[in-house]
Amino acid sequence: MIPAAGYLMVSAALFFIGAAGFVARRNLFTVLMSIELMLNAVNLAFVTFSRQWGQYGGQIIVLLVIAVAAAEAAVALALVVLLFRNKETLDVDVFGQMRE
Amino acid sequence: MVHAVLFAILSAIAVVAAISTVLRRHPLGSALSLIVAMIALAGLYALLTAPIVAILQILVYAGAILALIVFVIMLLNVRAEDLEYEKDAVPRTLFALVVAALPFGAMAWAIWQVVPAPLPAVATRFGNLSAIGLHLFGAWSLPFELVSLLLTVAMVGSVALAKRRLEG
Amino acid sequence: MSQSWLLAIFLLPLLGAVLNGAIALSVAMARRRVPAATAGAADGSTHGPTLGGPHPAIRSVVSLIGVLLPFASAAIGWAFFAQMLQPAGSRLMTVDLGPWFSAGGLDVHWSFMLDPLSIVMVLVVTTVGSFIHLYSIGYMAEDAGYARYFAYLNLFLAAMLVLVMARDLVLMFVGWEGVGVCSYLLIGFWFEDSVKATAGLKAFVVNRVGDFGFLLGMFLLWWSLVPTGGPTFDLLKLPGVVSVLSGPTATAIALLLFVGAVGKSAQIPLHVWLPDAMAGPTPVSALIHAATMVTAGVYMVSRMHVIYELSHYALPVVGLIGGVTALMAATVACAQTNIKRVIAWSTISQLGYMFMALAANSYGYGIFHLVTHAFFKGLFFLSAGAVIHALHGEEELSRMGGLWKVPQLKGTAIAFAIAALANAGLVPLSGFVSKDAIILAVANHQMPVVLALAWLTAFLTAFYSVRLLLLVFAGDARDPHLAETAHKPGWSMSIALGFLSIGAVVVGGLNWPAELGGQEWFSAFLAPVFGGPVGAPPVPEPHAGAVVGITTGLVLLGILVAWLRYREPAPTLGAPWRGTRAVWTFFWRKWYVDELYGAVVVRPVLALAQGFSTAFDSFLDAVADAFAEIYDRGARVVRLIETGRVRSYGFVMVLGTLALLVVAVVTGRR
Repeated sequence: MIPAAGYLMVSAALFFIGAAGFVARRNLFTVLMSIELMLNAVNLAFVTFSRQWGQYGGQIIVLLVIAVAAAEAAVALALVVLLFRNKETLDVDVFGQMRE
Repeated sequence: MVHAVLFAILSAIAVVAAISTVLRRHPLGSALSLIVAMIALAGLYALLTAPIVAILQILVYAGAILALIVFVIMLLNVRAEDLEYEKDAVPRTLFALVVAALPFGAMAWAIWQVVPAPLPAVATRFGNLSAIGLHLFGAWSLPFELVSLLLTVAMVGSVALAKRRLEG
Repeated sequence: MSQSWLLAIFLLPLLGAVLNGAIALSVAMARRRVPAATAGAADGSTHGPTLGGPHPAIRSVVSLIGVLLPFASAAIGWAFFAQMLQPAGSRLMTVDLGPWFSAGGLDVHWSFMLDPLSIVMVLVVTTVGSFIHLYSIGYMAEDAGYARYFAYLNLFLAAMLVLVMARDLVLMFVGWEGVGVCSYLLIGFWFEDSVKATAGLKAFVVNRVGDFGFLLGMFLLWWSLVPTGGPTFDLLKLPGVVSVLSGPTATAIALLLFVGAVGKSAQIPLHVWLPDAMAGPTPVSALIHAATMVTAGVYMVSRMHVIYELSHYALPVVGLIGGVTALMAATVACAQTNIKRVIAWSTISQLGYMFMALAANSYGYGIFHLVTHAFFKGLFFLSAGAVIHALHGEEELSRMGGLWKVPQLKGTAIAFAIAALANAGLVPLSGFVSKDAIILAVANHQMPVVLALAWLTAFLTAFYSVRLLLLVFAGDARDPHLAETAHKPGWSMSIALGFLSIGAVVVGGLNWPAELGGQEWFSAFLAPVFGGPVGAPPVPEPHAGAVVGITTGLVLLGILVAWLRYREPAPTLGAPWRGTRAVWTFFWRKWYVDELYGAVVVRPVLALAQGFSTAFDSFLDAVADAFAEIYDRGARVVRLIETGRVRSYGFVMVLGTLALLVVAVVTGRR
């Protein structure tokens, strides 16, 4: 049997890969997907702990996170479409209006 | 033994696919890599006796969310020349991954310190549909309902956003 | 009739207040939408800033609600009274609507009661009040704030009834404050006129002083009852509990409560608000500032009489204050040149009589004077109001005179004369009966100083009442044009005047003094409340004949002097005799009390406030400016971090996550 630590390390690896992508990439889609990656990493940790302690909370939370991720994806993609139509680009750094 | 092998294969696929996701220049490639990572993760969930989560991971994440992303990428018709601004994506991301390896190492060490024990045995019914359902509609019914509300709001919000045109 | 019907007595006027308030609000909103010019044309007659009356239909609805509900309430009150009079009937009815709040040992209930004292107050308030409401239909007919006026007046009635029916001292205080608010609202009814608005404010502020005393008295009462283990504000239980209080404590409580009564009933030194309160519409002066609210202090002291009796000093102080106030106010009334001011000062003076009666342990007489006073002083104000209304809002005596010759004002003149003579205390009008009883009681109670004050006041009262009567109606018209254009009072005003005239004449019969061969039925009715046995014969004053003789002589002398001086065709309004000018001015300026307060209290407080205002303004401004400066400078620096790039924000987020990770690893236990 693989101990919980193994799964948690996969989770940590996925999280940091997502974080690296989130910080380094400038493509709107890739940034979004990096976020999804981080979410999934956290989900894996939840499920692992659920298994470790025999509690259902972790699994239920994952189900809720999946639903939230779906909502997030819907809104985020709508925003992406809107931004692309406006600026004709996917470059994250172009969208600096938050500063004003 | 089988368990260990499966774990090795699935986690290797997941990590490699994840790295591929952040390294690909074109978002379509990223999206396809991400789908692979999701499916590998679903396998890991199954190994963790969480069949329902595994199934929903494939259905909703790989099936719906990623499909939506792919659909939007193709809708916007992103071409190679649209990505000119990010010529240095691969080296930069590689550099970021190397930097990220440091905190990952720290965290891996911490994990090893804290939970080295093997997974305990669980009841055979653990994680099956009826058990999940009972919990979801029992103690977790309020968050569940709130999430359904959130989904409705998100739906309305995305429709409103997609219909509108920003000026300036 | 079930006991819970007694709630209807005050709920009906409250309902009227709510309905009329809603109408007033909607009328005001509608008027805001319509330009002021088309909102309604004012016809010639104005008193106060009038915009023209409301739509006739609205006016009818408002009048119906505003007048019928008080009458209904009065009817219920009379029904309860009839029930009480039956030999087998209970003299005490209570209703408890459950707890209002409870804090520590304090447990306040929405509890109401009717005992002989309460029912007397209820009958006075609702009956006289209803007729004053009726009178208002005519008096306020052309006022733009017609609905608002009735809403306030109904609300006042409800609050006053809560005051007199409350079974709990705290609940009584609610009514006490409620009538204060209504008084403020009605004095400042024509608030566009800043003088009138200020008069309302003055009444409110001066009453705050009294209310503060009342509150302190309540606190002290509670505090000193705590050692007994059962502190209570329940007015029915208090008499049984307070006997443990020591003399000094009882004195302190009694005097603090009396401060409240002094404020509400306009006694020295808090009397200054009542004359200014005449800024309100005249029916308000009749209802609130003569018949009901200002007598709340008398009611309260009688209600708490047990505490006063525990103290050796409280009642003598009450009597002295009452006596001095009565005399002082009577002197001022002699010199006033405004018709309403004369009556206002007369009210203060008569309230002084009531306190004298309480001081002589003759609560029944005090309350009886309250009742007769409600009739004859209400009538006094209402007939004066009829004169003012007839003269298009004129209140100055310098423009009256000779109105007896105006045929339209004959009825008003008769009512006015009845009121003036009853006020003067002429045999056998109601004023005579109740005032004579008080003077007899004072004499009987061995209070020579108070007796002297009472006699002097009786003389002055007769003098100024007749002086006012003659200055308004006798002689030649000082403003012939005004007299010619005078009009008759409307039907509603006439009915009210008629009813109160009859009352002012006959009410005295209820308590004809035993010394004069009467039954004192009224005192016997109230006796159980004041601890006396039912129907016990009062102890007669040994020199009753002499006392009554002196009083009557003084009254007749006052009438005679006034008659001799003011019957001439063109009497002077100033000092009536040579050499009295200085005294007269002193009286006319109200003993310079307002000036004194202005110099001693108002101006220093204003100066202090101004000083604080300036100091704090500059200080607070400086502090606020300093903070603004700090934030401004800080923001200039922090702004550099803000790149507007999503990725840099993301980077910071990841750094934060790492920081948390470090914390977790460092502090985490194995």
